Amino acid sequence: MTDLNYTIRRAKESDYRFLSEAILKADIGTTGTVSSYAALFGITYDQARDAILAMMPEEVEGCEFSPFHFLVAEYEEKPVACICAWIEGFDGVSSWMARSALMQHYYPKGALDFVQTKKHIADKMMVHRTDGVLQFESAFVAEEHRGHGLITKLMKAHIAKFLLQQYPVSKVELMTYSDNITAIRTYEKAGFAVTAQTHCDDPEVLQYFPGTGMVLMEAQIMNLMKGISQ
Amino acid sequence: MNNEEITNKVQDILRAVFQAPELVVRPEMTANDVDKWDSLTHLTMIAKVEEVFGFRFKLKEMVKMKNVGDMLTIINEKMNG
Repeated sequence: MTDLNYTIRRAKESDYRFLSEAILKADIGTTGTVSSYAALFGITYDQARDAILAMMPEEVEGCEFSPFHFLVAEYEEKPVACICAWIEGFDGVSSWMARSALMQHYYPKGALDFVQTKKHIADKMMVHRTDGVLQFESAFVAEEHRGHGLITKLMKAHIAKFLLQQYPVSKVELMTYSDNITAIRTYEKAGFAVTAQTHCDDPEVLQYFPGTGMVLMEAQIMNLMKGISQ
Repeated sequence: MNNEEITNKVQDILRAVFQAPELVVRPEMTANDVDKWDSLTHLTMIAKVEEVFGFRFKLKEMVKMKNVGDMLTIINEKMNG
């Protein structure tokens, strides 16, 4: 397979299942073993995937549960990589509010009760996105398609789309787990720098998150475009 | 139920959920104005409002609530509409 075999396009309805899996797998990453979308809510991977899949047709904007925000890399007419992007709080609603609303409607009720019992862990993990800043989330590449720079191509395509539509964005943020050193180094090479970091020393943290802390990374769009075009 | 009664009930809920006994509800108030208002306490707050007022928010209502004033307007419409 060569880079010419990949097509980048917006996500469509037939991608919903791929995107639901990608959101969970991107969260788990290469170093983790659990997804916070499932474990933190006391539900299985399949339950979380099915709930996210059911959310997709709602097309609620402003968080990773909207297929509208995804670009997909396709290989032989199948989605193999994706990344989500939105402007935080663009219409006055934060991503966590959009996410919470969807979870309230689509996660099992017991899941929302369960997560409240783990709030002491979640509070120590959370980093906060910046209003008005372009957010990247749920970056995923199928294993056999890694090493082709698909995430940087997808990021660049997202940025080009936002700039073309004259959205007032100059910075980009993304989050990853502090344990995922490979991802952090890759993002640093692309032009990102860590701006906030958390660490949770609770011995149970790895039962509910795929890492023991989170990092918020930021890049200037112009620097990023230079970094990822090299 | 009039506006004042709705506002007072919402204020009681917010004070309890966010552990802020001195909190005074203002229509322009957002999560940024309240220390303990985060994604998880937000879920608790919404569930409590639904329980106290006896209805469920629609998804499209929840994703349009930019501040407390928006929530008060929706509650008012549901209680008096």
